[in-house]
Amino acid sequence: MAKKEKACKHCRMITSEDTCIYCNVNTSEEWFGFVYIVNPEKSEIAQKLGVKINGRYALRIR
Amino acid sequence: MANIYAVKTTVGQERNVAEMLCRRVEKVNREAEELNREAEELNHKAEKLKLNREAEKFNHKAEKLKHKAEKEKYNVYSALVSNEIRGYILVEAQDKTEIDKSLRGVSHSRGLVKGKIPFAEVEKFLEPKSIVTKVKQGDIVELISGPFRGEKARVVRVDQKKEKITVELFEATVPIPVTVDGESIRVIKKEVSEDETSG
Repeated sequence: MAKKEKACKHCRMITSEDTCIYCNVNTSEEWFGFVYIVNPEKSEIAQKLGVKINGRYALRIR
Repeated sequence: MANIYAVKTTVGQERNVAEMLCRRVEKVNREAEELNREAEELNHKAEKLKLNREAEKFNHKAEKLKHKAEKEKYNVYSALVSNEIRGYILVEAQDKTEIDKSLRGVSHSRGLVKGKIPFAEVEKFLEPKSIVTKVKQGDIVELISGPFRGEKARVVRVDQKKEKITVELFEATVPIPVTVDGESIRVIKKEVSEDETSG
């Protein structure tokens, strides 16, 4: 069975791990909204969200 | 400068389309980077050569590769899926043609919507508010997930902090309050406030 996707409570990156590999913070199973950042330097959305690494992010985490 | 456009998708497949599109963009851009690296190697080789003619040949080849890489690259920057807009995703790219190019063959995508979306419009989707903030006591809602899926109910209590809503199901013979998650309801009818009825 596929592992449930979780989002880091700090950087919002979506992962299947219990702790975020970048910030070492606990991840949450309850997240909403989804954004895939391909080019963080040129993306206005990435700049607004403060994202510097490309990847998949959640918009709201509980 | 990035522009944001809406892409129509099959309802329920928004995230799959966004992921497929971005994965493809990443793959193509990686290949373009590879071509650029090859071109740089050729330039380096040309620098080492003393024969002008040979060097020119390498430089020309490098130029061609760089041009090919630039042409093949997709200038798509991000894709956003919001729970508030069903059947659409928002794609940020250099221009419309870049999205058109990258969307070709992506299943469940149903084409680009005409016209740019101003960034101010998109900003509200970046900080989604819980549906609980919009629900009031007395509203009629439909449960969209869980064991009571499809049932209609009236809101009796709203817990903003925990994002939980307590409802009373219409179909139940005995009105038992059921507490559900804020995300598992859809508001059907708002309660008409007293000011509205009197005015």
